[in-house]
Amino acid sequence: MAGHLLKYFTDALVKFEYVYLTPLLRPPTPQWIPLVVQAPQQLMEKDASFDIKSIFDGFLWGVPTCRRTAEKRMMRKYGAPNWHNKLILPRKDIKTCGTCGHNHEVGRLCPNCYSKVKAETSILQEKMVQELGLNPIDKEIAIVYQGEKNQFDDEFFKGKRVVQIEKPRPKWFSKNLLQRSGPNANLSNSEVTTIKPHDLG
Amino acid sequence: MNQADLSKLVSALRIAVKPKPKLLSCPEGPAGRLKKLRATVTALVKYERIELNYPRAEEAQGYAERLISDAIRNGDCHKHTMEMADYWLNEKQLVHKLFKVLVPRYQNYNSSFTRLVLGPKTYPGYYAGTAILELKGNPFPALQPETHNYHFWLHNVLLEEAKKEFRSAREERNAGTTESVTAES
Repeated sequence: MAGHLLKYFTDALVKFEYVYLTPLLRPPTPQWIPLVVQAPQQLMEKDASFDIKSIFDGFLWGVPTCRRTAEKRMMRKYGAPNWHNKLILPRKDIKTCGTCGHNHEVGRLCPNCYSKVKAETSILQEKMVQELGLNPIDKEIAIVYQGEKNQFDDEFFKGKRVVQIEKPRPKWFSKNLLQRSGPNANLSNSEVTTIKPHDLG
Repeated sequence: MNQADLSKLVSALRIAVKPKPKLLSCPEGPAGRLKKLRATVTALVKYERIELNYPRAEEAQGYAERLISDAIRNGDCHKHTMEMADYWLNEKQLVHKLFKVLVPRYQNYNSSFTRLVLGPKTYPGYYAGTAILELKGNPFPALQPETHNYHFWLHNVLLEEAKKEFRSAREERNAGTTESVTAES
């Protein structure tokens, strides 16, 4: 009985030794090195091929490669005087009309003054075209306003086509357009015509 | 290479003639451009003052000046001039006007026959703005008032003398006061 028990224990010890102790003591075989050594988090497999485009699968987009210079920044923001000026500059080309006081651009007509002239001109043109019609035009035009017929002498109407306007002459449209005012007047002309103040428009 | 003297072949117009024609865009192309300019020149001769956009006004001015200049140089018996007048003036009563009214009017002119004035610009408007093209010597009220101020006009002469008198009197007074101050000190 004791002999059997002893045999049982020795067998168990041998088994234990074989299963647990001998692996630890004998040199490690390649099959169980990973179990012993601390393994990495991810098991990296050795890829046969590497695709460069896979770098964009993540979030690798276009980024600036060079710093923008101060010159480029200034040009973009403010422009250049001889190129495309982005600055808001004051308008210095607006002047006040000496006659009426309205504003107008330099080198252009005053809109207030011109509107008056345009209105009067269109009336005269309409009447002129109506008078002349489609007949051959061979004479200059003489414009006579309401109540002015007797103020002109017959010599004025010689060789001219009279266009009568049924309205009084505007105050600002001078009748005295035949006489030159200023230093370029023909001084050799012996006829001295005196102009009374009430004749000036 | 010697360039032949062409100055006597073509009438020297009293306006700035551009070397290249302005390509006024229209659906009919260059023929349409000439058609538009013909209408403009006809209107100018008919109405003697027209308001239109600046580019077309500038072009029409050149053609109108050349037409009038040729009419003055050659007269109505010249075949080519009459053909040109017939082409450029759509209304035939204006051919009579050109040779019978405008030629005597501009016979002794030393300046240009037309005047191109820049008109008022309405905001926002067309970038080139309006222009008023008129024949000189028209019977309408003047676009730009004559604002001459010559120094030899009588009132200007009198004012100048008055200014000189005033300044000399003021200098005398100032000299008197400074002398008295220096005398006192």
